[in-house]
Amino acid sequence: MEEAPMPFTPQDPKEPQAEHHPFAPRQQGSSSHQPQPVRSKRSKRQWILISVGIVVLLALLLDGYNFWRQHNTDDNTSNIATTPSNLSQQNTTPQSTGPNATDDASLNQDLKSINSSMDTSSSSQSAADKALNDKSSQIDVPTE
Amino acid sequence: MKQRIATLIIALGLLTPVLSMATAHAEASTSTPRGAAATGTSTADSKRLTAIKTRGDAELGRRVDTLARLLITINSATKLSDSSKQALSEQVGNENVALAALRVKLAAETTVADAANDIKTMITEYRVYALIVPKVQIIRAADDEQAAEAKLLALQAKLTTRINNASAAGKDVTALQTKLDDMAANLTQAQLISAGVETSVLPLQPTDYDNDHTILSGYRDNLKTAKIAAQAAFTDAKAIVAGLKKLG
Repeated sequence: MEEAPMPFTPQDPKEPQAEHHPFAPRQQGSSSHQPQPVRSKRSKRQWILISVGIVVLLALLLDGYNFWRQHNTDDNTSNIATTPSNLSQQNTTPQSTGPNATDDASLNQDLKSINSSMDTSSSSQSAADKALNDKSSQIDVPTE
Repeated sequence: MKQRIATLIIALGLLTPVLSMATAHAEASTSTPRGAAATGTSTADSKRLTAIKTRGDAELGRRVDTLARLLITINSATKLSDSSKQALSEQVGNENVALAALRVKLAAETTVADAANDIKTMITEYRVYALIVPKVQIIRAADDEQAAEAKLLALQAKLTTRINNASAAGKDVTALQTKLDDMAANLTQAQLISAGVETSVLPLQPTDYDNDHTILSGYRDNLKTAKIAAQAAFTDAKAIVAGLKKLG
């Protein structure tokens, strides 16, 4: 004979945790008057809300950190904004260095290109060294 | 008396053929070793000639292949002027044709002396590995160096503009200007040396190598000096770019 499931027996490892959790809803009246499944459903909702809240909080913190880091690198610490409204304003408003941003990217590209050409030049010089040190001209043809 | 004279004549008549046969035998016996020695020498020369031809043909073929590859290298040079490229291609091409002809000549040689002379010609008159190959490689290195220097020069112009703009905006560009001046000096030095190497090495001939076996080493050292100067200019450029970013 198959034994009937008993979800709220002491053998259930989850139930005691829900009972003692600080965010668990207070029980009103006797537990015999409050159906156990309803109490469990409320607890899950609260946990979902808490999780969402934590995620939103972390996202805000991360966004703020990125903003601080960006402005700290550019030595514009005085313009650090702490509110989301200021944050969006900082990101959309062109700064005084804006026109040079394209130039900076172009300069970086130039440096990369020059670096590549310098590497090519180094390889060519190595090939020239090798050719100068080549002993192939010292052949061993019997002429006597 | 008459009988004695007749007997002597008869005796001489009988002895003459015998003496002739003996002399002929003696001559034959002395000439046989000489003929055998001549045959031995001919065989040794033939072997020597074959060895010289075989090895010489291999060396000539190696040079012909090398020169063909050099032509590709010359044609792929980017900064080499058309006239310089043409002059270099002609020299290498002419050497290639001449060595191919020498290869045919060597194959037809019948004496050791002529074959050996062909081999000496291959070395002393063409100097493929002693001069031509390193010469082309040095010119190519100078060419690549000038390509990098041209890019540095273009960047220098951009940096000059940026520094002037920053100065006009009231920013302190003293340190950047110092770096820019240093970059310009290094770049000018590198350009002068690289261009000079290319111009000087281009007309060198095998006879120049015969007069001075170290002639190419000096130009190679010059190129290294140019490389150091260009590297210093590049370092200056990087510092200026970083400084401009800080200025904003």
